[in-house]
Amino acid sequence: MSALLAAYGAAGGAPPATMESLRVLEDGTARAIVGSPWPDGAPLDEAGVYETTLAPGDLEALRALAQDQDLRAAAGEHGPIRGDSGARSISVGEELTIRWGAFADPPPAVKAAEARLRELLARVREHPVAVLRLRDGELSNPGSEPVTYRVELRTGDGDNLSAYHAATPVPAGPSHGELGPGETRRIALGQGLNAFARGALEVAVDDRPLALDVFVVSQSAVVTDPKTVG
Amino acid sequence: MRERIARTEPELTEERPPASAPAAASTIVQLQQTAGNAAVSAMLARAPTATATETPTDKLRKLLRDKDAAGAIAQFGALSATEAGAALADQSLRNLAVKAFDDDEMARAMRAIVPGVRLAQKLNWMWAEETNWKAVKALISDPKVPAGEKTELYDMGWPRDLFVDVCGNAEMAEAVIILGGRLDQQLRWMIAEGTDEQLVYKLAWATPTANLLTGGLPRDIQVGLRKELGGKEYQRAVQMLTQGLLTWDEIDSSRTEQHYELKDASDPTKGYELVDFKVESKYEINYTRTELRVKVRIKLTGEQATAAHKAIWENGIAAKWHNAFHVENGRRMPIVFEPVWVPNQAHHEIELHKPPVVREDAGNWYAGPNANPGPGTTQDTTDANTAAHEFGHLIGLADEYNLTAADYQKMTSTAPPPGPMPAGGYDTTSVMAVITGPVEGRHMRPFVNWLNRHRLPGEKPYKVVAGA
Repeated sequence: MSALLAAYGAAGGAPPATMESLRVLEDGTARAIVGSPWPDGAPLDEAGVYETTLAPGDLEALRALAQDQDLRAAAGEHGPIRGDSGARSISVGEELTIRWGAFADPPPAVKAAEARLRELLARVREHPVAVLRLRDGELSNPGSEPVTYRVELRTGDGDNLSAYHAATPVPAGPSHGELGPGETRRIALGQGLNAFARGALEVAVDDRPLALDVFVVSQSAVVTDPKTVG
Repeated sequence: MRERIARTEPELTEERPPASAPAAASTIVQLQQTAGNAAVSAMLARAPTATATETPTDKLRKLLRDKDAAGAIAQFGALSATEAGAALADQSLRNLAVKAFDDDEMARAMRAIVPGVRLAQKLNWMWAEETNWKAVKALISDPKVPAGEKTELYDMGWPRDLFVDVCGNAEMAEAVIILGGRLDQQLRWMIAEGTDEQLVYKLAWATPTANLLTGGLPRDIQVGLRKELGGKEYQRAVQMLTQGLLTWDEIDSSRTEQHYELKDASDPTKGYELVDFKVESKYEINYTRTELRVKVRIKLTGEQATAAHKAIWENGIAAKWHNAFHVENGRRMPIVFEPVWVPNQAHHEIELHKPPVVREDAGNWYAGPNANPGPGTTQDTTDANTAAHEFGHLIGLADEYNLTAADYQKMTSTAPPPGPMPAGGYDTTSVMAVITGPVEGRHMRPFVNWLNRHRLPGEKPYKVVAGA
C-alpha cells in the first residue's frame, strides 16, 4: 500500500457526532469515510465510503501543501478541545499531526489547509463506494458495494440540531436491512420539510467490516402513507 | 474580647440599719425599684416592732454577719419568694453577703432561692461578688427561670455590662442564645463584647425563622458587625440574619471524564479509544431555611447578549433543572438552580459567537441578532435545551454519551441495552447525553451529598426525591 500523503478529519461532539475523514495516499488514492459532516459541515443526505484517484494537478497541489513550513510548524494540539464540540485534525505523512478544537483558533496556515482538504473531500464524495442515501422518501445505495444499515427516521422542519431534537420519529419505527449497489427502498415518512436518519452502517473497507455511526439529513422529506410502503 | 469595664453599679460600703429600725425612705424607694411594690409592701407589713421575734431575714442577716456561709445559703433557701425578693433589694444585706461569700458560695446562695425571685436581682448580687461565667451560666440556664426574666435583662442596661465583664466572645454568644430575646438585642450584646463570624453564624442558626430580621439589620448593628467581621463574612452574616441562609460553599474542583472518541479523526478504521476530558465544578451552593440553591456566576464574552438571549437560557435551565427533584428529611425542600450573569468574579466564562449555530460546548454558545432559538432554519441563538445541557457541565456533571459499559452501568445503575456495543459506546437518555432528555436523580447527588455533609447539628440526612 502506498504511504499516506495527507489526511483530514472532523469528529466528535455531542450526539449525533460529527465524523468525516479524508485520506490521500502518495499514489493519489483518495478515500473519504463520512458518518456525518453535520452539523459542522453542510447538511448531507448520505453517508458511507467514497473513493477515487486524484487528478495529477490536485495531487501536486497537495504535495506542495504537505511541504508548507507554516503548516508543519503548527504541529501539535490547539485547544481547548471539548467533548461537546469535537475536534479537527490534519496529518501530513504519518509523522506530523495538527489537532484543534471546534472553537480553537489555529494558525492561518492550518485554516487554509483545512479549506483545501475540504474541497478535495467534497470531490471525493462524488465517487460513492458503499453509501446510504436518504432522498425523496427513499433510502438508496448509489455505490458499487453493499451496505447494511439500521437507522431511526424522524421528520421535522429545519436542518440544525434543534430541529433534529424537535423532530418526530416516523410511526413505522426504525428501518433496517441491506441495500445492494444501486438498490432503492421506499420508506414511510411523516409530516415535515426535512427528514433525518440516525443509526449505523456496516460497510467493507479494505475487505474488513467497518461499523460506522451515521446521521444524514434530507432536504426533501416526502409525506408518504405508511400503508402504501412495502 | 473586650477589656473588662468599669462597674456601673456603685459600691456599697454602709450596712443597712438593723431590721427593727424603720426603713429609710430612700431604701424603700430602692426596694420598690428592684423588688417591686408588692414585695416591699409585704416586707413592711411584716416589719417587726421593737419587741417582735427574729424574722427569717434577720436570721439571714445574722448568719451573714457571722460569715456562716453554709448557714446563710441554707437560710436563702428557707426564705419565701417575697422575703427573698425583699432581701435581694436590700443593699446592706448584699454588702454583708459579699463579705461572707466567695464567688461560688454567692452563686449557690442565689440558686438556693425558691422560684419567683427575679433573675436580675440574683445576677446583681452575683456581680457584686465578682462572679464568673460558669456561675452566671448555671443560673440563667435554670429551666425554671421564666423567659421574661431573661429577656428583661436586655432592657435594664447594667446586665449587659455584667455579661461583658464575665464573658469572652464565645461565652457572650452562648449567653444570648441561652437568654433568648430578639435577634437585635442579642446582636447588640455580642457586638458590645466583641464577636466573630463563626459566633454570629452560630446565633443565626439558633434563631427561629420567625425571629429573623427580615426588614434588614438596624443601622447600629450594621455598623457594629462591619467592625467585627470581614467584608465577605459580613455579607454572609446579613444573609443569615435577614434571609435565613444557613450555610454555603464555593465549589471549585475538577476531574476527568472518559468517553469514546475515534483514535484518529481522519481514519475511522482505526476504531475508538477512551479519551479523558476535564470537567470543572465551579459554583456556589447555599442551604437556606427554605431551599437548596445552586448558583453559577457566568461571564458572557464575545457577542452581546440581550435580555432576550438570557431569558432563553434562564428559562431553559429552569425548565430542566428546577422542580425535577427535591430533598426530604422529614421536611421538603426544593433544589433551585440559578445562572447569574456577572461582569467579573465569574465561576465560568462563555464566549458568545455569531450564527450560524453549529456546535456548542460549556464555553461557547451563540447569540444571534434575532435571539431566535429555533427549531428551524431561523435559529441564530443557542437553544434552551442546549443551555440546560451545558449548564450541567458548569455544575460539574459529565457527558453521558460514548460511554463504556461499565460507566453506563455505574451512571444509570442499569445494564447497558442488549446487543453488541455501538461503535462509539453507549449513551444514556438523560439531559447529559441527549439535550432533550430529562435531569435524573443521579445528577442531584453532588448537591445532596454536600447538604448532608453540612447539616445542622441534629438534622436528619436528606434524600433526593423526584418531583417538585
